[in-house]
Amino acid sequence: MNTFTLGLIAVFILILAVCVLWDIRKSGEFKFKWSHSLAGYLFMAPALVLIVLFVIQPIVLSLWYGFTDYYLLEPNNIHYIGLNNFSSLTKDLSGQGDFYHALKNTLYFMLFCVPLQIAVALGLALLVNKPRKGGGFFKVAFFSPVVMSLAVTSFLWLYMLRPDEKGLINGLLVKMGIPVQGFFTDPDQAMNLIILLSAWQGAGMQMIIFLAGLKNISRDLYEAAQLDGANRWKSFLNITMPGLKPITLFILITTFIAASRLMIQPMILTGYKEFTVTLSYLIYNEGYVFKMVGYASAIALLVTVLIGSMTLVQRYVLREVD
Amino acid sequence: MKGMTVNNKGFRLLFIYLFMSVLAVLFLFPTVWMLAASTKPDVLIYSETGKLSSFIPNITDGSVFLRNYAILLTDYKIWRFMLNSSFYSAFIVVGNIIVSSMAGYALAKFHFPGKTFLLGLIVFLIVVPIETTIIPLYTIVHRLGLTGTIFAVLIPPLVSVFNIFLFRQSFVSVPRELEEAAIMDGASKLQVYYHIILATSKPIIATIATLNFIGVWNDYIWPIMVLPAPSGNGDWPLYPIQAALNTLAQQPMIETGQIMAALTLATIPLIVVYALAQKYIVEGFSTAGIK
Amino acid sequence: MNKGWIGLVLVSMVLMLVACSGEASENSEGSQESDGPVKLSMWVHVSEDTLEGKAYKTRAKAFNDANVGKIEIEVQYIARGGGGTGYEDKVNAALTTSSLPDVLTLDGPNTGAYAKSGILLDLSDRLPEESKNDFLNTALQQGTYEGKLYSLAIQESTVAVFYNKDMFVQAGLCKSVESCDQDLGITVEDPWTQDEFKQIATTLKNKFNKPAIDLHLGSQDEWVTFGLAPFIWTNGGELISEDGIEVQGYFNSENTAKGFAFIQSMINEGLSAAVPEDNAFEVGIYPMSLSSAWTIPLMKYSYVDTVPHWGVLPYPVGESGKLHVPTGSWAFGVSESTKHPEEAAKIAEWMTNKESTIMVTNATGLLPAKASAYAEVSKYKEGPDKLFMDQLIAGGHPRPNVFAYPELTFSFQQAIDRIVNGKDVGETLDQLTKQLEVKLERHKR
Repeated sequence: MNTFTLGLIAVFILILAVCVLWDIRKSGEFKFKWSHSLAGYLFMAPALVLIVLFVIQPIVLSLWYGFTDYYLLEPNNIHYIGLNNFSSLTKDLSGQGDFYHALKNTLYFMLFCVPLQIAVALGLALLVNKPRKGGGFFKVAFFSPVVMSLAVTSFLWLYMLRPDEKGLINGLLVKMGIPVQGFFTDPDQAMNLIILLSAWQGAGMQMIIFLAGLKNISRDLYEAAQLDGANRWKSFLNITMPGLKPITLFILITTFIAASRLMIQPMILTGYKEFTVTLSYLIYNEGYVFKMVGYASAIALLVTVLIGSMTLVQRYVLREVD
Repeated sequence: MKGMTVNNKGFRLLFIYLFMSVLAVLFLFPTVWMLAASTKPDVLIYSETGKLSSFIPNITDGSVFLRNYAILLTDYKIWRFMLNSSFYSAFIVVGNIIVSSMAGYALAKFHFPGKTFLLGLIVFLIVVPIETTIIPLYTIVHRLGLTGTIFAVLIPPLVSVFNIFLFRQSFVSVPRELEEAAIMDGASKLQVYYHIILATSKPIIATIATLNFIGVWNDYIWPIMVLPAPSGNGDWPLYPIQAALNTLAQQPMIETGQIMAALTLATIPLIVVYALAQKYIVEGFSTAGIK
Repeated sequence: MNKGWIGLVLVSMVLMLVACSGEASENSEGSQESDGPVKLSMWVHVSEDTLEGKAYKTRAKAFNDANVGKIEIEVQYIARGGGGTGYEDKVNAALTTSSLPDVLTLDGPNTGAYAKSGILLDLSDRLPEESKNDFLNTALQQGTYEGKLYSLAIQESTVAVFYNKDMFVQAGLCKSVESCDQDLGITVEDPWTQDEFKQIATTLKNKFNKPAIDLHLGSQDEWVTFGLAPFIWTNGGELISEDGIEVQGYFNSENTAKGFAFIQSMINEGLSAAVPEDNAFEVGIYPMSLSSAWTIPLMKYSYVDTVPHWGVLPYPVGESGKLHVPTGSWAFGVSESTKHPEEAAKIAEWMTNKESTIMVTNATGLLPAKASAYAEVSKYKEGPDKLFMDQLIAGGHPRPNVFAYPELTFSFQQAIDRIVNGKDVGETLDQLTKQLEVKLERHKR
């Protein structure tokens, strides 16, 4: 084990110790019981070991790279360059360069895809939640895009949405007297289509989490409401919605984070275009295609700060739900 | 009056089924196309592109119906990669569920100093984008001497901050009375964890296991990076199915139909696991019978 | 209860042990066993069951048989997946841990970046003169960075215009399918100009009411640079300065703009399509296609029914009046970190010698990079293969061998994408030149 790993473990233990002491000092009359605390630590132990080694360690390295000129081909020739990467990112931002477009597209995608996908997922979950004949089939059907290879779905969508009259949809449009649409090649349509397709492909995932949430709402509550003469809509508002609140917060945050990482869809459906490039795609391009790991890590660091603070705001705003 | 409600109900039901069927078509068409294409020779696939018949399996010509699958299983011995994937996924999912649920339990039900920090840390780690961490992760795993062995594939994914958080959120709502009752009966913390927490959380376990399984099964970039490529000297290969698929698609002699057959084989386990888990989520709830 | 706790503690300890046991097993690749042969590792970018993979396997085995007891190569076949995943990921990962194999394959244009970063061993003095001189000039150029030879070409590759003879006859461009080549009279020695090319294309477009040529503009990969950069060069344009540092005045020079403008005019006049139909030439919809030698076996065997009579014409010539065609394919290099440079160089040489070249080009359908192999194989004496080979020798122009090639080809692809979608050429090039300058700046360290 090298010095970096040992140092990291030492720092981690130190921070943990400080937090522990702080909590103990602050605890006042609500004292910690030692045997109870110890049990808690032991339950955490395996996860903590793995997290420090395989999650925190690479992240710390990557954050550090953000302040260096790490070029992938020269791993033994890394220099600390201070805030250079960040100042060139601000320049990029004001000059409306790649980072500007990536940031704009990602925020646009998150703003529209997250609510859409959650709404679709909730709709699907409510549709299949009620035990019906053949319900299992529909559950599998709505979930199937999640497990389908992106290569297959993209091939089919690209074929259906070809930007000339050979395309299935354009063929129909032309027959109806509507001019041929550019779809993925049209700067105004491409991102919206990616939003629709991502929601279509991903909603099944949130659907099953919603389903798990719906199962946790006691049937008795509905029966009681029915006895009180509440209609479907009323029970939905008064029982289902509040019952789903905790899981919705979770789904919101995870969908939000997943949306901030959009990469594969624009990569396959449009390739690198100013009107569809996203932050993750940009990071990939700078880090792996151009091999500028330092610069890519700086972008990742900024994205982390940005998405992290947005997530915290969401948590704060929706706190009463948790 | 009564007849009308029945009628109304019937219409409602009909409408709902019609609506769901339209949706099902929208969601299922790539899967159906993949299944259909996997039974066809390439000439047929390309001549049918854009036609309705491209979604119908090639039932007229029985001699070629399963030919693509036969080639995959005999020439490419694809079942070996499927077995690898099954082993990796089973190991990782079981291990991950144990490790993550224990941590989730600690964060949900224990009052210990430093907990706020650890919980905050977990949430922070969920947010960090992972694109740039794969290279440092490789360096670390290499330094541990794991690259080139299956441990490089098996050990790092044993933990998932995402799953820890999900478990924690779910365990928080397990009623304290249940735990206390068990402790009164002389149960240890570990017994509470196993008999109360896990037993009452089967739906969430099934859900997380499914999501985790999909993620592990579909990953190919990491396995290709850390595992030796199939060497062809007759040794059992180490690649999982998705890594092998990535290789397969590059073969110049491979037909689209064969790739679709391979994709079908790689997708079936995902659908099966999901369908089984769905069933379990319902059963799990009815047996748990709480909340 | 205690048992459970012990189990937990044990699990944690095992994890810790696994974590701490590192560094014990350092990379053993390329190590020498006390008495046996020197063992070297080699990575190739294709999977083993491909024809190309089998060719490498056969040649590696022949090498081992010829060097029994002395040197032994062990080959790993790491296929490239979509978008450069797989092989390149693996090489990048190995780079960060200095665990590259002794010998590896690399795409020709990567030579510059790899050489600059000191990854590749300088092979200039490790190769017998006659073996070095046997390489075609274009192959040597592609493998050379700052005067030193770093990579040995496995094969060569270039691009020409495939045409459908039946459609040419129908459009009145030639009398019969048998005499079509002579009727057109377009040869490598006396190629067609851009204007003649456009004239013929216009006739074809008017006749069939379809774009005349498939330039494969839908693909968003290296093809765009490989296939279309000659339009820039043949108009006297450049993409980047020789030293790979300057783009201002190169990427956006007047002559460069002429090449891009010509490509744009092809789209504007309906002679080619920004999104061509799939396999438009192969199934007989478009009369021409700009493509590489790998199309030859496809036309011969897979599309006999749809296009029974086809031929190959050279690349059109622009204002410079000189034929320019792309070159370059994959190559073998030796890792700088190898413990056995002598033996590794020997392997790289062996894998690119005459016998290997013949075997590999047979498998891939591409062109030999060695003069001796070219002289020995009869198919290069006539027909489409001959035209490809003649073009390569007469007008081969390797892609710029610069360290920032990934950035350069990315910008080129962006430029093509924008101008075929109607953006102003001058503006686009100025914009991209500026962006490219910022990217090059990051290499200064």
